[in-house]
Amino acid sequence: MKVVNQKIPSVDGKGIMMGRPAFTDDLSAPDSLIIKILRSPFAFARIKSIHTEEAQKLKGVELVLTHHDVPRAAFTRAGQGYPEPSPHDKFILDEYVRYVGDEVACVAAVDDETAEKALSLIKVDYEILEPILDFEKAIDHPSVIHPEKDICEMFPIGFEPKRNIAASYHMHINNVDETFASCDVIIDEVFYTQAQAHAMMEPHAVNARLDYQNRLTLYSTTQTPFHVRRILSQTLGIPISKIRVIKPRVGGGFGGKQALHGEMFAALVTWRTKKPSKLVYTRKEVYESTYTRHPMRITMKIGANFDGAIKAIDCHVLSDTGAYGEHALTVFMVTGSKVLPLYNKVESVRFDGQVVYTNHVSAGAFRGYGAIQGNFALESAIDILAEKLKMDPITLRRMNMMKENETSPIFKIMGEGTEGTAMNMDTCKLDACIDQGLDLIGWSKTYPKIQMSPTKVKAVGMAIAMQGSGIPYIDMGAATIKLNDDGFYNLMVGATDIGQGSDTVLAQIAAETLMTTVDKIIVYSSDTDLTPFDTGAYASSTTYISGNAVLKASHQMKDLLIAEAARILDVKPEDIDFDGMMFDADDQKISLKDLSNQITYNHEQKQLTTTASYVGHKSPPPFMAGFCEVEVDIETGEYDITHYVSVVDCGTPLNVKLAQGQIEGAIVQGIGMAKFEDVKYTKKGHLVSNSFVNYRIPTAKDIKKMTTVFVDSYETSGPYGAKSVGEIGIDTPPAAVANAIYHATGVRIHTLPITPEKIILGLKQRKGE
Amino acid sequence: MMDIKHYVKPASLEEAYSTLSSSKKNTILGGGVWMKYTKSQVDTMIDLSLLHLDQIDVGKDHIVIGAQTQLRDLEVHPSIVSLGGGFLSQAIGSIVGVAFRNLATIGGSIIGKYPFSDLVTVMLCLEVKLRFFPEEEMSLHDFLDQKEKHHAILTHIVIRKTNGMGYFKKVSNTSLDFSILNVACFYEGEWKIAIGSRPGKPMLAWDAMHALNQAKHVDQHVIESVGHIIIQTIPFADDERGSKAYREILAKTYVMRGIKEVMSHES
Amino acid sequence: MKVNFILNHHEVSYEVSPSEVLLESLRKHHIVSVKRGCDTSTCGVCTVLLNGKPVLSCSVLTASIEGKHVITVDGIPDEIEKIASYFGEEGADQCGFCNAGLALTIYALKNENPHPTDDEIKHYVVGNLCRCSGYQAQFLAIKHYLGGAK
Repeated sequence: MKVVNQKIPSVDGKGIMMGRPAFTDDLSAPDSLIIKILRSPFAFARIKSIHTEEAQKLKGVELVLTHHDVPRAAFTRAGQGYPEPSPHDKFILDEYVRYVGDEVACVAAVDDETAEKALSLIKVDYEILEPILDFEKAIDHPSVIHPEKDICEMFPIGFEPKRNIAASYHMHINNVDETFASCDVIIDEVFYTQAQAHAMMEPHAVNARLDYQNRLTLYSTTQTPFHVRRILSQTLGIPISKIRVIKPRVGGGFGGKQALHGEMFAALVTWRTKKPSKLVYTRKEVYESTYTRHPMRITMKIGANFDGAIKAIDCHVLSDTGAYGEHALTVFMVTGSKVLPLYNKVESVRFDGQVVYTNHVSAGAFRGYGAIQGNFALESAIDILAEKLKMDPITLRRMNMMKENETSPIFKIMGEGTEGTAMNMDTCKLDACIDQGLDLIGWSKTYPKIQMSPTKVKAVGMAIAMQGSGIPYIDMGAATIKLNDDGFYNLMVGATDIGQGSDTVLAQIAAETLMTTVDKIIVYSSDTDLTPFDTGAYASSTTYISGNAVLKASHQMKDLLIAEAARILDVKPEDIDFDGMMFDADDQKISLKDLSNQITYNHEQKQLTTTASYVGHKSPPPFMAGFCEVEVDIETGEYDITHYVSVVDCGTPLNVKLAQGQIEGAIVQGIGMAKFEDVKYTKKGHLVSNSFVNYRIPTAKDIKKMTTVFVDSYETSGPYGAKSVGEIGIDTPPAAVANAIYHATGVRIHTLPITPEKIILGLKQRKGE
Repeated sequence: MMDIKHYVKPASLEEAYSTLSSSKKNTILGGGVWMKYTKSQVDTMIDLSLLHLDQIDVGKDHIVIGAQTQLRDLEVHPSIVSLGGGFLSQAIGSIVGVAFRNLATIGGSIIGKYPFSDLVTVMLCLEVKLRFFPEEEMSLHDFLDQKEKHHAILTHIVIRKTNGMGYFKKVSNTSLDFSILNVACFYEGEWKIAIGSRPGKPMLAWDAMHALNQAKHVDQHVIESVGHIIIQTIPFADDERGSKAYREILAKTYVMRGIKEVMSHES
Repeated sequence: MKVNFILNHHEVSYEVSPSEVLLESLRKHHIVSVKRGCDTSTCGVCTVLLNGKPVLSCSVLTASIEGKHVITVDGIPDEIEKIASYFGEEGADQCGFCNAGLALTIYALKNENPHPTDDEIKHYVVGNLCRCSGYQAQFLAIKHYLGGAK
């Protein structure tokens, strides 16, 4: 492969670093009205009255909106397949506010200062209601967070809002209780994972304008432009043909921009005032009023025999979706569907649980999407089981884990919100991942631990993980390729590059197929008018789904070109040899450049374009083994992760450096979740961790040695053998770190994050102090 | 965000002080990095950049530092790098990042009386005097103890030069985070120990210092007992970064390690 | 009030309010390479060079920079293109939002300390937060740009 599986610099890195206007707020219309949102100071309240006369009278204020002034239509903000597996439980503005930071009113004014002043002039009389701030007390709590009658589920997802349940699910294969009765050893553990904030560097932003056709054009930092367009149309009653959504460069998403944030207000303000408008979130608003990861309680009961065969897994989940249920069901299902199949040789398995509403910040999509939570629970539990069985944790895993060509009945039963898709693991290199990882971390030298000095202990721990590659039968991506004079191509894709480099990777696929170089493939993406459809950047779908569409379109273009060359040279297409630049038929030849100029300007003129779509029929999981070396100060509990080894099976890494970057970036986010990231509230439900000062993310000094390796693997259903690589990296650190800390100290942490304080207090407890 | 009505650059300290005293809503411009943390209304912002208060003068016995000196300039200055084995430079360098320290001033860091202040913890172990305009000089220690708001302009920080050896430890979640605990130890014929971010403001551990300075021979037994005295005499509390119990463990451990490390350098 | 300063080697005169910070002033004048990432002087994406030193433009009152030199990536395009090449080679440029501020920081590092140790590099750039890359590829790119550490 000449272009794919190589180190190719991104197509846009240089331009961005050199300062070209590229991000949403760089592209706002001049003199845009500034939109600011009045946000609830209470975790749960009803607006008894709201008076905006003073605000409206202020010079420079163009529009003030309250729940009295906007269409009453329940929708979901989630950018997911349609009909969405999300309850339609959100209104543009509502009589109820359900978390500190929820939207109360919207102001559009000529500048920041006027908008701020206007906010302060809005008089709201609240009836303060008792908030639900403990998700373990949410079900059947006297407070009902969604008492509205006009909310609904799109299809059955276990939606019981009167009981504060946003979604629920149950599945079982055979009977776990019977299997447990026959097991030699049983472990039964409870784990808690915390809410984590995305903390992407670019705050959410949107701007809107009417173009010269009087159509509404939005620039947005969205991961899902097509879903945004549809949801705006359905909720605002504006014909979808009158809306255009463009996603420019986005400064990080990780799932935090996979929903509507602000688009509804910008669209409404511009539609009503006929003037351009913009809304740029402050960092405080990003923390308080967008999303977090779903915090969960996960119970993991595993039964095994003395020989190490794992017979049954029983997993129960309680998930906190906060004030609105956008990704309630789907994240919760992934906690089971992309975790439990790792141990596919069990006789029986049960997975069930509920997702509850609370008056916390809404939880939403976040890289890993339930798999990181489930992985922490399962991979910690496997180590606990290994110890009880007096078995080496590596041996226990090798015996029981998924292998190539095997399957799990869970795939057929559990999809994302609905039924799943049965599939065999055509590629699964977990064995090789473990082999190489053990070597790279120096496992046998260190396991379980080495006393380095009276106060320092070195130890190792590990975890395996899987994810998915798009959602079968639901995620669709498409690509259009256009030939230009002079012999270069435009590649139009709906696929959303949010910094992961999909523009570059998709260009590589086209360049490989058309036997040319990336600089001859000009990518334009994510414009609902100009690019074909794509569901968007989530579920690790871009390389696999959108990539396959690009592959198809490129092959079709190649066929078209050869047919054209055959016509010009008056030979049969089979007689043409095409090397990307030249069409050769024995004693005749024509260059791509000449051919393209000829058919554009001179003779039998035509525009060659191809469009192809792709929907997956399976979701081949990437796999990985994560190995963690820690050095623990046993007098203070402080620890360093001195080496993290990631050995990944993602099929062919289409861009070696960008794939490595995906893994490394994800590992560091996973380490943040494992070590110290924590969304915290006051007793009244105010977010304490609402700035980079109170919510810290890993820095350059905090990350020591990282080794990332891709094992040989080729997934034939993926473009040039590729599976996905966007999410898999985040899953292993919490369990790998927990297992390493246990080996170092004998302290087993069940509640993330794994802080030095928990470790030292655990150590003191063990010593009986 | 600060709301500032007027901006002036006085040509003399007298002029600056006169403007400052004329209204409670007038204030001196520091580094600017703390501006975003306050929504205050400022009538007149007083920029002292014409007054050359950003110099570091090294004399025979003292280092005289202008209050407007940026932290980064202090951090890398040879006399500060060598002071106490580098523990002041280390403490300054642990504050956020270079772009922050190219703005934040030593004066601003002291006037703010921040409980988590890394550099104040270290400076309590040194002999530091603060000079104000109109004429007034007081020890850093007395300034920190003062309850009333100080109305004079801090112009200089004077550190007595020393050949003593210091130790500084900042315990924090990440390299950029505020500390869970700060510990500084210093020996120059007699011991000084300061604890900060308790989460309360930095303070000298007088009882522990006394025990250490009274001991005929500082051995493991003495060091252990000093550790115990720290827990018994220094007030710690819970906050979102750490609990009282955890801070006590950290304080004891790092004071003991600090004493040992300073002693190993001295010998 | 009027402030005269030198922006990217050209003399400019900006009309500003006393509260206005340099980040706002620059973006108002279409220098969009300087980004806003936070509200607390913590993230580093707004970094510009002020008299050659990296500073947080969100925390500099424009009124205070009379006569000073400000450099953004727009002022040193050849050098930035060079840095961008190293980033591209290592795949260090993911979303790019932190890149301009980081590029100016490492340009300043090169001028201040041309042969830093690995620890000195990390100490210098620790205030430039990145959520995408995990810092590894960035570090390699920086080392290549600096010509290898001692």
